[in-house]
Order: sequence, then C-alpha cells, then structure tokens
Amino acid sequence: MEHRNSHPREMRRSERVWAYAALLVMLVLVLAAPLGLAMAQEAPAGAAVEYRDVPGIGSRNLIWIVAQQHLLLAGFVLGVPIFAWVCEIVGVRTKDPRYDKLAKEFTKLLTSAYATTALFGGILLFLLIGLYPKLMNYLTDVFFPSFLVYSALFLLETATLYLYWYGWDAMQGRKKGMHLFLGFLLNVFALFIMIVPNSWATFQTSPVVITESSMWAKAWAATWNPTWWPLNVHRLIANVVLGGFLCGAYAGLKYLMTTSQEERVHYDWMGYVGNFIGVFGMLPLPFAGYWLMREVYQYNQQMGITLMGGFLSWLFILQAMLIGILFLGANYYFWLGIMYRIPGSEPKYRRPILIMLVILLVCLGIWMTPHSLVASLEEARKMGGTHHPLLGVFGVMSAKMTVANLMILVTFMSFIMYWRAGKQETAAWAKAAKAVMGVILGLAAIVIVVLGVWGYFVPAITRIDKFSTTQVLIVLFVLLTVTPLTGLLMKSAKTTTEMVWGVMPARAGYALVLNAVMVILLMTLMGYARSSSRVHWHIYGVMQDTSPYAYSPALGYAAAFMSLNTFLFCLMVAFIFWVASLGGEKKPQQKETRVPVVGAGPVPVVRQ
Amino acid sequence: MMKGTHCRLLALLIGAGAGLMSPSSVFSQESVVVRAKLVQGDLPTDPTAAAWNTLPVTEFPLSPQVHWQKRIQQVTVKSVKVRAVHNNKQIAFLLEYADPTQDPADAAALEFMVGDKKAHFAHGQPMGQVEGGPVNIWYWRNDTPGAADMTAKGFGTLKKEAQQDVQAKAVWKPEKTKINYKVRKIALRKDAKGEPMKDAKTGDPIVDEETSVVEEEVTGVWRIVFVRALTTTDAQDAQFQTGTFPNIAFAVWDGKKLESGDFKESGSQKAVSSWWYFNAEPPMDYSVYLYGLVAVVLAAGVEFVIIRKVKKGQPA
Amino acid sequence: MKSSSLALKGGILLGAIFLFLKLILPLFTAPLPMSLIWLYLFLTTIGIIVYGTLSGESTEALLGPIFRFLSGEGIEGTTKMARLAVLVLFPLLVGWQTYSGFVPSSQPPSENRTIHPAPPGEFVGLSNPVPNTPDNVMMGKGLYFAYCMPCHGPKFNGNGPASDGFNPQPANFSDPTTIAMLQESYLFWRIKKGGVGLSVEGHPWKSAMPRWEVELSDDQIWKIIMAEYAGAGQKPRTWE
Repeated sequence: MEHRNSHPREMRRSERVWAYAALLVMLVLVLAAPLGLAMAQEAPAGAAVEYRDVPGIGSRNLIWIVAQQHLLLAGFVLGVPIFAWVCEIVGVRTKDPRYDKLAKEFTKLLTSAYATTALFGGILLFLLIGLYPKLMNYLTDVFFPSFLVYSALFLLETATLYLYWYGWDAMQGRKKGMHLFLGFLLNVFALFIMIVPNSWATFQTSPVVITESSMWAKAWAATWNPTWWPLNVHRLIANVVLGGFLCGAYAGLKYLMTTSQEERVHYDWMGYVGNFIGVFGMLPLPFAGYWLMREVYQYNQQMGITLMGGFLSWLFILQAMLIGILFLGANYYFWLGIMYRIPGSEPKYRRPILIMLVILLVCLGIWMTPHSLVASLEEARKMGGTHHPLLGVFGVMSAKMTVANLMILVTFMSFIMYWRAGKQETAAWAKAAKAVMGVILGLAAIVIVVLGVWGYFVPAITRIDKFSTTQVLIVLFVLLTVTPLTGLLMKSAKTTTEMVWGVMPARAGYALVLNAVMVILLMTLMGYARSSSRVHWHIYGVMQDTSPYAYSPALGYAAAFMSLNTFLFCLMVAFIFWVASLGGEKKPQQKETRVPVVGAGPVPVVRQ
Repeated sequence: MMKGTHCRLLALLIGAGAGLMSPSSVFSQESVVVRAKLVQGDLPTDPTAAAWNTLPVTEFPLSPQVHWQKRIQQVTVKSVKVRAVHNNKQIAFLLEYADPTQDPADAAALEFMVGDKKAHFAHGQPMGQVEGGPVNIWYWRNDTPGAADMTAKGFGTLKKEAQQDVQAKAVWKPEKTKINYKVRKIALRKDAKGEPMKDAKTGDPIVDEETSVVEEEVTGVWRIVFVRALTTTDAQDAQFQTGTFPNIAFAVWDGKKLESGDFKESGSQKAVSSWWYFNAEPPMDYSVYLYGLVAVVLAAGVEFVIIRKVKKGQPA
Repeated sequence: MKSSSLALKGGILLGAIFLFLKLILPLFTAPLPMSLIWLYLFLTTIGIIVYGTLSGESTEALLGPIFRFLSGEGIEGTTKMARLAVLVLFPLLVGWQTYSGFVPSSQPPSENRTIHPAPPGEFVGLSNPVPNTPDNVMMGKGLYFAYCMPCHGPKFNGNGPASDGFNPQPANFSDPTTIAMLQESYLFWRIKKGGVGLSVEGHPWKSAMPRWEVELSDDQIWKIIMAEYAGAGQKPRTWE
C-alpha cells in the first residue's frame, strides 16, 4: 500500500521544499543587504524612526512585490483546499475514484505552496517592521490581540494541513469520515487565517473610530470595519477562482506535455474540473466586487470617486479587458469541450455558440468603452471633448452593470449547454421544463437590458439601490432555478453520445493557461487599485504617509509592476508544480489498478 | 431638457442622429498644433512676405478672458490664424486676424510655459493642488516698436524681463475677410398662429435662448510676426527643442477708443485661447530610413520562414 | 465551398466593421478616436479566431485558405497575383510602420485627462443648504445667465457664445453622463475652486473655469447649482 512506502519519499519532498525555502531566504538576504546599510546610517539610537528605505528598488516597491507574492500564494493556498475538500466529498458521494485522486493531487500542490506562502508572509512581516515602523507600531497597538489569534490559527492550520495530507491514504475506508472532517477543519482555519489579516488591511482603508478601552475590545472594534466583510467575501470567492484556474492551468500544461493517452484522459478531465470551478466562482464574483465598491462609496465618497471616476478609473477599463478575456477563455474552453468531447455535436451547436460569442463580444465592447476616451487632441476636438456624444453613454455604470450581468448569463448558458450536450431527456415533463428555462433566460435578459437603459433616467441612488440590485437578483434567480432544474432533467436523461476524454486540441490547454494568467493579472491590478485608493494615507484619514513614496505611481509604472508580479508568481507556481511532480517521477509505469479495500468507503486508486 | 436626454438615448438605440445634437466648434479645422517648418537660410520677418503663404496654417478660436473680474462678454477678434517657421537657430510666428479698425492700442501676445512645471494659461496663476511654473509672454502693441519679452507667475506679477530677446513687426491692411462666431440669440416663443406664448403659471412671455453661429464680413487684417532664437541664455524665457510639443496660447486686444474715452479692450479685457501645442520640425535624421530598411529585410525574412514552414507542414 | 469561406468571411467582416466605424458612423455622429476603432477591431478579430477554431473542421476552414494562400500551392490566376502582392506589400508595410514609428511625430501626445477627479475631503458629502424653491431656482438661473451662460450656454449644453477658445470645452450639463453622475457637493467644489482647484490628474492648467469663490457667495453658488440641474433637466446624484 502506498502509505507505507510513501513516507520516505514524502520526507524527501518536504526536504526539497525546505531547501527551496532556504534558498529563497538567502536570496532575500542578499537583496536586503543594502537594507542593513541604510539602517546603519540611521539617526542615533533611541530616536523614533518612522521610515527606512532600501536603496535602489525603494522600500515601497519591495513591499509591493513581497506583499503581492504573499497574497497570490495565499489565495492559492486558501482556494485549493476548498475544492480539494469538495472533490473529496464528491468522490465519496459518487464513489468515483477519479475525484479522490484529483483531490489528493491538488493537496499535493498545497504542501509545497503552503511553506512558500508562510515564507513570504514572514519576509513581508520583517520588511514591514523594518521599513514602516511608525505604521506597524500603530497597527500593533490596535491589533495585537488578533496577532495572537492569528499565530494560534497558523499553528492549527499547519497541523491540520499536514495531518490532512500525510493521512490521506491512511484514512481511506472506514476512517474517511475523519479525513473529511480534517478537510473541513482545514477550511475553517484557512477562512479565519484569511479574514484576520483582512481586518488589518481593511482597517487601513476604512478605519473606525477607536475609543480607549481594553486591548481586546479595541482590536474587536477595529476588526469590524465597514469593508471587512465585503473584502472577506470577495477574496474568498476570488481564491476559489484562482485555485480553480491555476489547477486548470496545471492540468493544461500536464496535458500538453504528456505523451501517454491515459494521462491525457486524466489531465483533460482535471482541466475540465479546474475550469468548471473557476467559472463557478467567477459568476458571483462581480457581485461581491460590486458590494465592496458600494461599501467603499458609503464609507467615503472621495475614495469611491478616486477609484471609479478619478485617476484609478482607468484600471477598471483594464479590468474589463482582463475579465472579458477570462470570460471568453472560459467559454471557449466549454465550447471546445462540446465540439471535441462529444463527437458529432458540431452541426447542432455551431449556431448557438456563434450567437453567444457575438453577445459576449458586444457586451465586452461596451464594457471596455471608457467614458472619457483615449484620443489625440485633434480627435478630441472633432468629437467636441473626450466624451463621445454617442459612445460616451456606454461609459457609465448603468451600461457596465448591464453587460456584466449579460456576460454572466451567457457564460452560465455555455455551462448548461455543455451539461446537456450528448444527452437525451427522458422525463415526460422535459419539454415543459425546457420551455420554462427558455422563458426564464429570455425574460431575465430582457429585464436586465430594460433596467440598464432605464437606469439612465432615474436618480443614481435609485439605480444603485433598486435597479442594479434587481439585475443581480435576476441573474442569481436564473442561476438558482435553472441549475437544479437542469440537474433534475439530467438525472433521468439518457446519454446518447458518450463523452470522450483526452482528445482536446492543444489550444484547449493553452486556453487554460491563459485563463490562469488573466486571473493573476486581475488580482495584481485590483490589489493595486485597493491599495492606491488610500492615496497618501497609511490609514485613511488617520495616519498620513509622510515617506518619500507618498504618491500614487503612474499607471504605466504600476502596470509594469503588475506584470512583474504576475511573472514572478507564475515562475514560483511553475516551480511549485515542478517540486510537486518530483515525488512521482521515480515511479515506473503508472498503471492504475483498483484494489478492493475492506470497508464501505470509496475505492481508492493505488499505483504499483 | 429631459426630453433632449430621452431623444439622445433613443438616437443611441436606433444608432443615428445623436451626433447632430452635440455642440461643436464653429471652426472645423482639425489641427491643434502650430507646426513650424524647418527651412534653410533666413526667416521671413516681414508679415507680408510671400514665403508665409507656402506654410501650413492653423486657426485657433478665441474667447473673452474670464479669469479676471473685469471681464467682457464679447470680443472683436474671434479667431487667430497662426503660421510658424524656423531655421534651427531662430523661430518666427505669424499671427493673422481680422480687426476692422487700426488703432494705436491694438495688441497681440503669445504665451509659453517656462521650465518643466505646468503653468496655468491665465498668466501662470497659482493652482490649488499643483505647483505651477511661470509663463513667458511675447507682447506686441501697435504704438510701441518691437515686442516686449515678459514674465509672469500669477495675476499682477507681469513684468518686462531684464533681457529682451523678442522682435516683432506688424502690418494692417484693409483686406476683406469673412469671420464666423457664436452669439446668444434670444427670441419670444410663438405658437402656431404667431402669437407670443405665455407661461401657464406666471403669465410671463416664454423666452427661448440659444447659441447660433453668424457670419460677418470684416474689412481689415492684422499680420504680426514675432521672431526669437530657439534657445536663449535667459532663465525667464521659454526654450524650444525641435521635435517636442511645448504649449502655446494666444491673446489679442482691440484697442479701439470708445466714445467714453476707454479702450474697447485693454488689460484683462481681451480675447484669449487656452493652451494648444506648438512643434518645431526637427532636422531630418536619415537613420530613420535605415531602420525602415532593416524592418523590411527582417519582415521579408520572417515571411520567408513562415511560408517555408507552411509549405512543409501543411495543416490538415 | 465551406472550407474556403470562413477566412474570407472573417476578412470581409473586419473590413466592413472598419469601414462602418471609420466612414459611415461619422455621418451620423462625431468621428471615433482611432484607439476605440482598434479596440473594436481587436475584439472582432478575437471573435473570428474563437469561432474559427471551435472544431478541427472550422480551424481548417479558417486557417487552411490562409495557409494555402501563403504557400501558393494549388492557386493560380488572380489569386496568384494577389499572393505575390501580399508577399511584397507585407515587408513594405512593416518597413513603413517602423519608419513612421521612428520619424518624429507631428501629433501631440494623447491626453488621459481625468474628468472627475476626487474632490478634497472638505467638499465631500455637503448638502445644499438652500431650499429648492421656485424662487431660489429662479435666482440661480439669473446668476447662471450672468456668470456661467457665456461658456456653458443658454441651453446648459456647454455651447455658449464664448465656449470656443477653451480646451477642454465647457461641460455639457444636459449630457446624462456629466452633472447627473455627480452630487451637488461635487459641483459646489468645481464652481467654488474652479479649474485651478483641480488635482494633477484633472490638468488644472488647462481648465478655464474661474475660481468663483472670489466673486460669488456660497449661497449664490448653491443657487446656481440648483438652476443648472433644473435647466439641464437632470437630478443630482444622492446617496440616501
């Protein structure tokens, strides 16, 4: 059995992780050497230092890189266990060993990523203490109790993770329930590990007035700041998306590289699951983002305007582009799946796909049309300003919200179409159900567009409170009615064409990788937006940034950093994937045989 | 007015018509740049020199100055035509505008930013959140020979520089020329029978106001040439590098004496423009052709490789 | 012949969209900036590629003709001439692009001016203290016609008799994407502090808007704001 001989191999793998960690530490030390020099030139001991700088790269840029890497890794580390666990449950429920294998493979990625995340967290902490002592003093003063809680959570999370991973094979069969519980605990701790630091970050954005009281009361009050929960929800969903698309990319790369048909089948399927989870998370994500923005506006309109109408508003056009490509990529993958995995489906689905594609592109075109356009002065003069008299109408929230909702609907339709492809409904009420679904979708689309156009003629507050919310509720209603209805239909449906796995073209693999890169870019982009919205404040309205870096970097400069961060993270993820694959390389042929195991649990897959 | 908005969106929905309702400039010219061509030899310093006719012209609309409190709502000069030329040492600008009377107090000016800091076009007046720089103003007045080289940073700080670097020469000719400009038109709203309509509530007659464009023929054109070295030794001066896009603004005064004894326009009462661009053509750099040639060769190479690949591995 | 049509159809579609945006749309409205035309063409290209590569058969229909055209196999007559022309023109086009990239531009740089930068903290969330009565609106309109109309126009659309000399042009209040998007407090800031009160990203050195606090009382400014909304048929943005 694997769990017996796997132990030494696992040890070796974790050793490699630590060797890798040590290497990084050394790298950072080399990078930080000038830091020591800078500190040596400090004011006499005893005088309070407010800032230290790193010559060359600059303290802010260094923090920018390290914090972004930590955050991306953390997103991955928190997102993956969610669906590793869900996959495990699905595996138990369906008794399909593929899911358990998949869940384990994801968790394998987790162990090496976890150490790296913690490592970057540590580096970030040291750098913050060293470079921004004034700010860290203040935050420590407010949040010290939650530092303690965080440390405790970290211990629990680490212990649970290692139990979860190393106990995977040992806890098959009768003990599977216990393993599932471990997975549950892992996710609970992970959630808290995320939302505790979120309180520190959101406090900087939207601090609350703290009255002098006990240490714990102070921390508690500061934690419950207005943007805390919106950010928690937004990040939680985004982490699932990141995890899903990253695993999709992993599968896509593996799919492209492998020559064995058996592995192609496996990784094709894994890529499908990753993409599915990514899309699943992506559908509600814009709503969570909208909620966050709304809270920001309500907390401080000036900050809201800086983000949405001020100099950061260009970021939202870039965001539209990236999200648009992500939506297109995810849909493209679904469509390729229909065309390739279900032989003979092309004539039937070509037209609906074309219609969906056109809708997506028109929506994307509207979403990406900025309110004030990039135009040469001469063009602007011909237009009579940078507002185009006709297309300027597309530049405002009413239009953006409408097309975002429509794109979500279309993507959802892609998914439903994929779900139903190659199957024939047998239920007597199938016709009626399909008609109802068609009516729901059609009506929803019409109402969303009508509300979007009407939104121009009502006061902003009506639009935001009533119309936009209604649009969101309509989309959610569609999601929540059509999904179970389709599920019921499919339960009794008979499969007319069996899905064929492992025959996807190479471009499907590339699409998966592209989606992952888009998600990472999006996170670096919006992370910049969130941080920059504080402008020259460390803690908005409370503690001013008096360092030489108290200015917002130009968008081009910021974009270069976002690309750098994305590149670095991709490198690191590739490294983690590679490290994770080392353990399996020495094995000879990977023939899968199913060995019955005593007990009522699912059938594990054992490699010999 | 709400109706206008509705119409606008309706127009959007049917995809036509909305553009007709948007305000636009009277001046249909497209350029926003004064382009100074590079020539060999001496510059035309005479306003009537034939050499000017071969140079590209850019027309800039002018508005009454609105920043000072003593503002007027109508100005005589509605727009100014600008040409420029340089020989890599000196630069010459020709301003040309319609003014029906030649008066001793007629005046015109060019304005530039000095240094790297952005300056407000109204005499470099201080800006709230931005630290602005000074401006350099070249001023010509009909009763004073030559031009004044001036500096300003904020209202009331305008003064002549110690070092004078600008020359100017002007000629007025009684030529006929057509000008277009916008006026506010007020009319009583009439019903179908031609009777003035009255407000249902107040009983007052309803007045419609709109901006309409009128055309007028004017006899009299000023032509003024300003000449200066591209770069000077004076720190208060704007310095021009070829190939760059410094800002430029214009001002014109109609110095006609009114019956009251005041000038029609003087001091802050003037026609102005906000910032536009100016570009001195850089000398030809022949390496550009080389780059183009290298690109052609590279592209041909890439094309060759692609076609070979396509020929070899014809995809199914 | 389905297999040859997809590439051709795609090309025709791209051309048609370009012509529509560049030549036909300007007949009805202001011309589009090139940045936007490129954006729409880019999206169309993505659409063609996505649709064309959905299946093996369609990929062949999209890329096959292109590859066959490039390789020159099995084509003759005018197509052959066209191929030759493309092969000659492509390097020349690249060369021309490179040349025009290096040759000093006579176009000024594009401006990413932010039209609605964030107001300073002290102007956020102010509410109009003047009651919205017909009398006050009337007084506001009087002030508007005396002080604002020359630039912003008698019809509140930015088309005043004195609007032409200024760049950027005075704001058009009847456009639903200007003051209708903003709160009264935002307008109060813009009127009181004028163009020079803008932050860097608003390019204060360009705006001709006077700093009206010099001449008008707060009370008068609030009345003007009321008149502007009433005159332009817009409602201010509110949060409650």
